[in-house]
Amino acid sequence: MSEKVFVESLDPSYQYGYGVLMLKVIAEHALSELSLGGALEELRILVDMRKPLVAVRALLGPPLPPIRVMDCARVQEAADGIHVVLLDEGQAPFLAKLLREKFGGSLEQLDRWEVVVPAGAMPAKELERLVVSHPQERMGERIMDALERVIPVGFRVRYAEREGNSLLILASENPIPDGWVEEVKEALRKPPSPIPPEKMEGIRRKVEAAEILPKFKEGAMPWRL
Amino acid sequence: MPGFLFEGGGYRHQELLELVEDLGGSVLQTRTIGTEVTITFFVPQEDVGVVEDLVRDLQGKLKRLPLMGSEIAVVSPTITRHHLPHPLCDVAEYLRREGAKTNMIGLARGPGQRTCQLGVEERKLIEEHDAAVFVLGNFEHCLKEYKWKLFKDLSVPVIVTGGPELPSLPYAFSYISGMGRLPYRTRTFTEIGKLDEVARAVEKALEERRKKISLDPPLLSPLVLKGEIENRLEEIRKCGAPLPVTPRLKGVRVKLPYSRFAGVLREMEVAGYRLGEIAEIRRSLMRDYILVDLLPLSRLELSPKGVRAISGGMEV
Repeated sequence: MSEKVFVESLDPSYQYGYGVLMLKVIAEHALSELSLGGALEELRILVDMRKPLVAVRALLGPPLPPIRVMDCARVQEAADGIHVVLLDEGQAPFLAKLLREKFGGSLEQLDRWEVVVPAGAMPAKELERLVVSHPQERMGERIMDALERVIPVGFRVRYAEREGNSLLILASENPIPDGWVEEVKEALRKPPSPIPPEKMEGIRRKVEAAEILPKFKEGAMPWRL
Repeated sequence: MPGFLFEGGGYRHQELLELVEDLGGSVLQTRTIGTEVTITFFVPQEDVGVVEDLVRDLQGKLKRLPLMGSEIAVVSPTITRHHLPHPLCDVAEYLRREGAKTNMIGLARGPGQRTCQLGVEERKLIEEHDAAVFVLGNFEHCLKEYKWKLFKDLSVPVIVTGGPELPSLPYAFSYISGMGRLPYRTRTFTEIGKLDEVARAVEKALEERRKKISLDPPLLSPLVLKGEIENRLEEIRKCGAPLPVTPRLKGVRVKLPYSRFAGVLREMEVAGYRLGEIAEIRRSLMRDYILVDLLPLSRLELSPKGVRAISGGMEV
């Protein structure tokens, strides 16, 4: 997988300082915890603690398509109506809300997974095409959550700019002058410079190799030991 | 007196409790879970061998707890996700396993450079403890230029942990690197080694404080006071708080409401003296608890008729 997170220092005297290197680890963890690996194409973080300033530019990936009834449930026509059988439990609250709004009290719930829409309320083909949820909206919240985790908590003065698939946030604890915005944009025009792997030695967690007990090794039969 | 943790079966554990009492030690806590018993206690240094013999006989485990009898504040700049739960919880838990009673404190205006500050109430709350551990961040510039403002005015020893390698920090008793803002729990040997460094620094700070206190000691030990309060106050047994009478280096924290029990404590007779005469009893900033600070001998006027505090401050 190509590198997505780039952390650079705007202060040349602190190019590979501990804080800069650790910020990369923190950003990678935030993306991993929030499962945002596919949603972002690039995350660039520029730091200058002497100003103080932290700028984060996220390049968003292609927008996710809306989830329709046919993507998360099976729709079957029967004599008593249209049976909607839930297949993806993650969509349950959105599907339940949609069906309640469309058909109200005329719905019949058979069990936890299955509801019956009265016959004639809507053609089955049309029901299948109804939009259940917009993952892109929820993704936006998660992306903002990740950026909030990267930006130091004391930096509450913000400047945000959205342009196409790019989202730029400047954060500081002092008022942000126009000059800083220009400086950040100028730095962002240059290609990102990845941190050399040797600099991350000792910063990234290194797990010591543990000896695997024979009974847990592949092919072992612990019940016979 | 060194502190110990005993872990073993419930069978014959009464013998250990009796031995600690006979040796002039003090039992801090006894917890029985199923057939297992966990006992934390103090015994005099010269009698440790006798206790070890009994524990060997009982086939239990004995662990030395160097921080026992102390109350430590573990302080974070905020309680946001940036600073909690790792590594603050890890530091607090490790100190707890070393015997300290820890309280985690999140500051209201701790983050930032120019804006970081410590409020008066926060300062007083931290000073109720025997030492404080500040878990700070990763940027050298912030640590060296600004963050010392948080602990500059504290009268208790402050151990600071942060990310970068620094020889020391102004106003800090000790600085431990490699334990700044971490997005994960400490699991590897290297990381646990860092926690151990924090515990050793706290131990050293407490040792120095103990030495200072021993130059002008109080009339009685906080452990004796703890035992007396537990024996005389019936309500302590009904109190649901963990360690209802928490020993500190200079006194105890009683986890009962100040408004109802401060008067009772003042009138309580301990070792032939009225507690209000030999200790300063005041309201804690933590949940309306009671702080009992034993006065040093230099502040007491002992006479055959009784005892009298020389300077004020008996009631706050």
